[in-house]
Amino acid sequence: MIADDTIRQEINELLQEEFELSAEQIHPEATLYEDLGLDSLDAVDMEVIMEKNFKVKLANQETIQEVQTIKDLHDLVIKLQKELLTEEK
Amino acid sequence: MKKALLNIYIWPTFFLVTLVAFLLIPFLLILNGIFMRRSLDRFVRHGVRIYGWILVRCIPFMAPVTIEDESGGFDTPAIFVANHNSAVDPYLFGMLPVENAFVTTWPFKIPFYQHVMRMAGYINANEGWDHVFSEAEHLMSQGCSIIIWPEGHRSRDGKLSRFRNGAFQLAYRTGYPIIPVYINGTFHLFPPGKRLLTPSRVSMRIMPPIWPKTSGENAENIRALKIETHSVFSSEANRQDMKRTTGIAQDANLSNDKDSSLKQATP
Repeated sequence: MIADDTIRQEINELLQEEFELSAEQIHPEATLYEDLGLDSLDAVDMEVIMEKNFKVKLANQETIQEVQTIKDLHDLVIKLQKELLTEEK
Repeated sequence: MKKALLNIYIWPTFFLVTLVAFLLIPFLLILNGIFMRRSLDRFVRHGVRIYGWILVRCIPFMAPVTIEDESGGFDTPAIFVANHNSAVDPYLFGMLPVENAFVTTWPFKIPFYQHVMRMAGYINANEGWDHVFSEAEHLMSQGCSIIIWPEGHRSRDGKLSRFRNGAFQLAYRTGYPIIPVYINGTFHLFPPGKRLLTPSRVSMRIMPPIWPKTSGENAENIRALKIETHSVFSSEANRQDMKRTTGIAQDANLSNDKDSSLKQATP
């Protein structure tokens, strides 16, 4: 099982690469829309890269609407991945 | 010297053409109402294209703007996506022989222009993507093409930045193709933040359409379309860089040859 910190680190790196962000911009309290300049349609990319890298489906998740900060995203992916692992067991 | 002359010529010409265009609007609208009876937005869009065409033709920035068209024709409405380097870029679309409407943001804040843009049915992206999609779908159903700057803003360094999803989601929703348009030379001509133009050769390359895939996962298809389009622009940007570098090298070689021939000719 991947450690939570490793997941956080991977998410941060993926966001940097995908959305051309600098490492300084990425911190847990950074808001996706205001601080990082993402828009509602960027959820499409978010959905695809999280599914490819962590095998979790963000689509149709009501909680994705509530993801406002990097920390929210970390928590959601970690939670979904734990649920996935439990289901697989 | 060339730069001074260009600016002395361009700004009065720009304001004169714009002033005449604004003064003509009421008469043209009356004429349209009586004789042509086109819908108001379609008529204004046509007028804006002519205005852009006149400006681009009246104002050669160094040499006439060149257009390389590899689109294979404009039989269906399309979503034109272009790299955005300068406030000059939108005027270049007056050169395209198709009815078109812009999706944009800050020009809706420009006095006078904003009224014309609203009359033309242009779409304000600040009103949200749901609004953009419904307006764009309506326009496309009437045969009008849509122009979107996929980077979302003018480049601050002349380099291509990441593309947003709007244009590609629209292509996926409507089934109409993306037509990439690479604009070259306008960053050198008039980059953001500058008040004076610098002479530059400007060209537009209209590339072959890229059709959206309709089978499979939505998100995957939209993303694939965006990545494919971005790679087309990256290749073209590299090609233009190579061309520029080769041109500079050739110029340097020519000047070296001249120097050496002068040296040889000197006793």
